Amino acid sequence: MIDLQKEFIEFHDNIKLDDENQKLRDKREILLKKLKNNISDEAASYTTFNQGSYAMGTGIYPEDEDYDIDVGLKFDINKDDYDDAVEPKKWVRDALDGHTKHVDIKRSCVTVTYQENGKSAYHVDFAVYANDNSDGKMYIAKGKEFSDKEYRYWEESDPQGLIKLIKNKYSGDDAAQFRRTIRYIKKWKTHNFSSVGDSAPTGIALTILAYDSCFSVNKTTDWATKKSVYDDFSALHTCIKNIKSRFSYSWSELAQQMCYKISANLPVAPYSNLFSKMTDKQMDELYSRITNMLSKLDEVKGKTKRSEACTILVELFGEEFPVTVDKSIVGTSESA
Amino acid sequence: MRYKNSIDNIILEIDEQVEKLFYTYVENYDFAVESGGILIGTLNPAYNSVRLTNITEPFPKDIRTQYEFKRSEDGHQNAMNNFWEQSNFRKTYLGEWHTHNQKIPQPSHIDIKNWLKISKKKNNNSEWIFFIIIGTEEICIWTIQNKKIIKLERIENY
Amino acid sequence: MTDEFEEIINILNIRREVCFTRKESSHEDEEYMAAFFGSVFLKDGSRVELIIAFSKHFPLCFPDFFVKNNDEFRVHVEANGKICLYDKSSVLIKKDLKEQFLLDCYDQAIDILNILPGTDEYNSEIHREFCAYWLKVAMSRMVYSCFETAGVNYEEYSILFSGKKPIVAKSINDAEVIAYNNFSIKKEETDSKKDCLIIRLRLKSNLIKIKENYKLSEIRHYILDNVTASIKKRINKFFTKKVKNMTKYIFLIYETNFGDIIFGFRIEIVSRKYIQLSNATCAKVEPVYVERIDYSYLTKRGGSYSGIKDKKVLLLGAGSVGGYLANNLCQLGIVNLDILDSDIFSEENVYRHFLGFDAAIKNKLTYKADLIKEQLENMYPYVDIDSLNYKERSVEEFLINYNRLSNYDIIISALGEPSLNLEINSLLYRHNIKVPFICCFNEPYSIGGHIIASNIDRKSCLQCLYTKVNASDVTSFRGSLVETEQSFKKNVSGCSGAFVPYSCLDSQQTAIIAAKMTIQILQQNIKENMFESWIGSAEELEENGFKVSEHYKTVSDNKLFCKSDYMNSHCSICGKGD
Repeated sequence: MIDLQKEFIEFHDNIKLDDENQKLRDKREILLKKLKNNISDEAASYTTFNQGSYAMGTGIYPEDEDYDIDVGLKFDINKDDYDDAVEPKKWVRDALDGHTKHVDIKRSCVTVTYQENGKSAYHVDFAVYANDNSDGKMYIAKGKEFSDKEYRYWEESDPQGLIKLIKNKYSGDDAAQFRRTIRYIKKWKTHNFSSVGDSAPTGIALTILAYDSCFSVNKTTDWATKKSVYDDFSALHTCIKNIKSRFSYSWSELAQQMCYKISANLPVAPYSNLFSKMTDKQMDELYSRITNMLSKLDEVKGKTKRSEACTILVELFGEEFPVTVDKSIVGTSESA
Repeated sequence: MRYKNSIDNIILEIDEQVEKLFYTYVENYDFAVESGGILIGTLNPAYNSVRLTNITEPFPKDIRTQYEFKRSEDGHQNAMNNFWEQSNFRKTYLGEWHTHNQKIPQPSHIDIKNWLKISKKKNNNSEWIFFIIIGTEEICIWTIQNKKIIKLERIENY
Repeated sequence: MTDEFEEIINILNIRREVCFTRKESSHEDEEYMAAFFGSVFLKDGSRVELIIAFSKHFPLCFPDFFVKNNDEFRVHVEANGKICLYDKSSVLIKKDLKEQFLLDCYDQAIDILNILPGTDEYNSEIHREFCAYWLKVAMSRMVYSCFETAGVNYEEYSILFSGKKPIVAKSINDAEVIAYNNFSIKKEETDSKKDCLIIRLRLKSNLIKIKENYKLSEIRHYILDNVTASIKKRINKFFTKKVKNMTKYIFLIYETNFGDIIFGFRIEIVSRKYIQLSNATCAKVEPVYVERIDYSYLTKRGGSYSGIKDKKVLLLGAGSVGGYLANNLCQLGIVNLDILDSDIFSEENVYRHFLGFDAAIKNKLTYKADLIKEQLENMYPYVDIDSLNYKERSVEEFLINYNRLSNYDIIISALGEPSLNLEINSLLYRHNIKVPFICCFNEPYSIGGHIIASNIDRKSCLQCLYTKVNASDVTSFRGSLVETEQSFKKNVSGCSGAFVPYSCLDSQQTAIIAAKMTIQILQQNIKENMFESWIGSAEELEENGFKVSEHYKTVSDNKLFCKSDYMNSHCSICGKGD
């Protein structure tokens, strides 16, 4: 196994997208300003917070350049006063509507889509919460504008608790390797699944798998320097191996065949299964792709040429993975 | 400038500065002695392509006569090492180039023997090794695939 | 002052019930301020006359006790009768209590005189002292003895004569090697005979009474009385020989707790007709002092390392470290040493090499290995160095036939070339050659040196130390004390004059640790792979604009850094990880 740590770190630098990113910050700030200026007087007061992968430190650049910004809006309301959970969502929609962007009430959020050259350039998801409830918990507004009543409801949610859990799982350099590994896996996902549809696992599902014991820190203390030397390749390899073994093989009623299935529950309210939206067949497909990734990683392990190892990793992760080469031996040449 | 191996669809992209350098040889061809050097560039497996970013030009220890060019290791290896280090270890040896007093160049027997020898080397980083001959009018590029010599076709810019 | 001596002697007389009286000074008393004479009875009932003499330095030094008319061998009593009281360096003299000091010394003197033959103490002390007595009576008759005494009961060995002292050895050839290597005596100048009889005396025999002249019959009886039955017959047979003119040597081996002592006799018979030895009353018998220069005796005096005489050592590189190391190894008792080095020794090396200027200006030998061979064989008897003087002396060439590595008990590389060392490591590993391998080298500017022992066990190997922590890539030595990728080579005159700046003391330091480690490995006291680095100051290095390594920063408080478990699972030679 050759040392690919530098390549992995460079790869990580190429794909990581975090809250520090000015472009994302600017876009978010503009929208929040608009929301503040235009929200109707009837609306309750609110505070905002960042949620999603950028807030967790596990964000990556989207392959299709459709940036995804997640903002939480905590309204100082009691959910019991709002029988229709969609009502507060409309405050947000109405405040942001009427501009060049496309604003949409989706099941779990209000989405503002920006387009550049006819393509979706980025979108901002505003999740709406009721934060002044008698039980002290926070609830997210679910449902679309014209959904049946049973699909418009409040659901207990703890996005900030989730961020805290992920952020506090490890500390210092160990935490950095944890976040890097999640980003590698997420990048593999975006490179290997088309972005549309539910066939791909969500980023948060993969994050929780890593969080929930699939990832372990891989470092060695160098006796010479007494410093920790991190090995991201091995950390990733182990994590993928563990994810693979999380699958169980069982009969699928729906597909009428044996399938590999996986589940992972959100460690905070509402403790839902993050793979629930994938069909058995999709999970089975995920299993085979995970297996394929593992065998590719094994192949990398056996390579002694840097260029060959990198080529496999490019295949797995895309062109963001750097292709380095060993020193060339030019020899002599004769021509006539 | 882009060239394609029609069999494997491997694309060789030649940077403009290298292209310009080649054409100065075409234009200033003086028939006195042959020139040559090594090809240096990066690998881009995501696009099944190889990019030619640099070449070396004759060094004093190379043997240059009217009909042959014998490239020594001196100078070229050093230059290669520098390109490698300065590129964060991305640039690699990609093959050989030399001039030939022919309008449309054709490889000689010596060339072919030499190319086969170089392609066989186990320590090449690139799966593809290219050979360029600069003629008095045209520049032609070959590669070796399964011990066979294949000429690359020029393709239009996209 | 004089009164003071009388005062304390009187106290002695009263307390020990003796009667010492002032002795008028005589010729031998000149160095003494006062002397007292008296007699004492020993445990065995014998009476001994003693003299107690005080020097002007008393009580800063001991009073001297002499046995008057000393005519027999006594332990701790010098030939002139002086009793050897204490090992002075280990006793603190009680200056303020003179009378007690004298009493203590007297008691000690009497205790010494009471050590009787046959006791353990008597036996153990003989070793040291008998030979000194013997030397006195043998006067200038000396013989070198270079045979091993262990296991010798009755032998007839050769004796080599030349202008210098005769040399006794197991074979003529052995004697000639010593004569040539260590006494510069050429073969033509010698004459040898198989004329030395070696006899081992029975354990705990009485030692012979020391005299200047003996009769042959006296010797014969002494021998027959003090040998085991098994060799008695052979001795009798020897004495039935009929001779006319003859010179024979007889060496007697007397075993003590601290090893064998040897004393000898020279027997000369000049007769007109044949006579039987046992009846040769005309024989002239003289004591002969036997100077032992056999390997066991010499190396034991150098610090006693057992079990390394038969070991075969290969030393690669006879540069600065290798030169000192070769010397250390020989001095420690290594006898079979092969040295491979392709360098020529030149004058400019003198101040960093074990070899001196005289070696540099000799014309006939120029290779370092040859010069070291010559010098060390001259310095140490028994050392047998093969300077592997093939036409092509390079290590690369030597390794082509890697099987010869298995001929050694240990391989030491002082090459300072990591790629060659790693190649050897790989050969040893791949071909399962289980010979311990030591690599030793200096770091520049006196910052330290490393001694790496590998191939003792197979848990790790040299390459582990040259392999990255997290991958199988080979990197520079991980225990390096200086930051890598700095060039330390200094040029004085072009490329051939390039050298790494370090002082001869660095090389000696490295060589000392390497030599110690070699012996410990050969004696199997080191049972696992390990390495040791000595850590110097970074001052000079930093003054010259270079940087220390991270590793140096973690160890700079120590003088030594040791590491045994340096296994690296990523190692491509011995690793299992990848």
